Amino acid sequence: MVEDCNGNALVHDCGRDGGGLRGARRFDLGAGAIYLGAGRTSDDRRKILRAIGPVWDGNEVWLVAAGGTLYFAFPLLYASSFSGFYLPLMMVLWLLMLRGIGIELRRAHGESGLGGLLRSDLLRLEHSSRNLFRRGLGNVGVACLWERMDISLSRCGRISEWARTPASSTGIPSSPE
Amino acid sequence: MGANTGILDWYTILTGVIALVTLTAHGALYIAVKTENELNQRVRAVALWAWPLQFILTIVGLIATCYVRPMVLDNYKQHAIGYLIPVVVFGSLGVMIYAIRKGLDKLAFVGSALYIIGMLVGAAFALYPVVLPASTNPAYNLTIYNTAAARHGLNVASRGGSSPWFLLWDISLSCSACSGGR
Repeated sequence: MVEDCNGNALVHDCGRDGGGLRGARRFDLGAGAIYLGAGRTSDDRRKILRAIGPVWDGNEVWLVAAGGTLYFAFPLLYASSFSGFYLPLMMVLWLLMLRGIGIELRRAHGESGLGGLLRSDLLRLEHSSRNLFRRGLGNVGVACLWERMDISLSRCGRISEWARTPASSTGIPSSPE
Repeated sequence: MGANTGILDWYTILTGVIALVTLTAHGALYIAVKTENELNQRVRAVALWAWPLQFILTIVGLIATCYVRPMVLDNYKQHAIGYLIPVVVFGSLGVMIYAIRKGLDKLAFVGSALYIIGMLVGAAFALYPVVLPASTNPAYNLTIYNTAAARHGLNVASRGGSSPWFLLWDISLSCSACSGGR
């Protein structure tokens, strides 16, 4: 049995390590479709969730990354497809969020997820949201800083000066003219 | 039933059913790789049950696509190498059923992944350079050329303006995976 960084037993408690399939960490799509059918007991369902546990949210972030890439590489396609498929995309996004909440509740409170939510998970959700917001804000800050440094490199004059200001204030050496 | 399809019609539903069956089989094989004993047998049975459906739906889907949009074959006719893609798709289906019957879960999973990749690459190859076909007039098709960002933006993105950002993102993801998805 192998444990993750928090000391939780990973899927290896099921007896299979899957060590030869490190690439498989990105391909867990469809496990939710068989969750209720194949997982007849609580233990089976726990094993299925353990199997996708370390990877499912990472895969969803790649979905968001694909949207971001579409936005900066093909903005017209992004605008057309997102406005044209607004309802289906909203459905997908809400289902993704509810899926994440469902998995977290199942992990925290087993089968009585809804009761657990009413008892204590409001605080847990609030904590998660705060962490998410903080991390997102940090990422946006890093991205802005990076883009300003890039502008500083590729432009000259007042624009370069403007772009160099925030980088200098963080102690990062500014680029030469 | 007609060739002029809308946003929710028989062709869209057929595509959705193909995706559902494909991902059900794929998920079952992923769980089969990760488990053993009774649960392993059960998910393998799901994959075995889904395979004939997947095979039939693949053929029906290809025929329906050619019926709805005959021009998808144009790129294949111009570049014969494209015919390798359906070979990969049906080959991967063959690998899947062979591996499921032999109890080779990892091979079956790789076959399923190849099938999905083959279907996606096949669709992209058929549509290229169109990325979003117009239903009214082909002149309004969105292609990779008329939807691309300005040159400076593409340069920034490709030479590293945003790539390190995604690298940081990936590191963050890896840490998230390491902590068990929390």
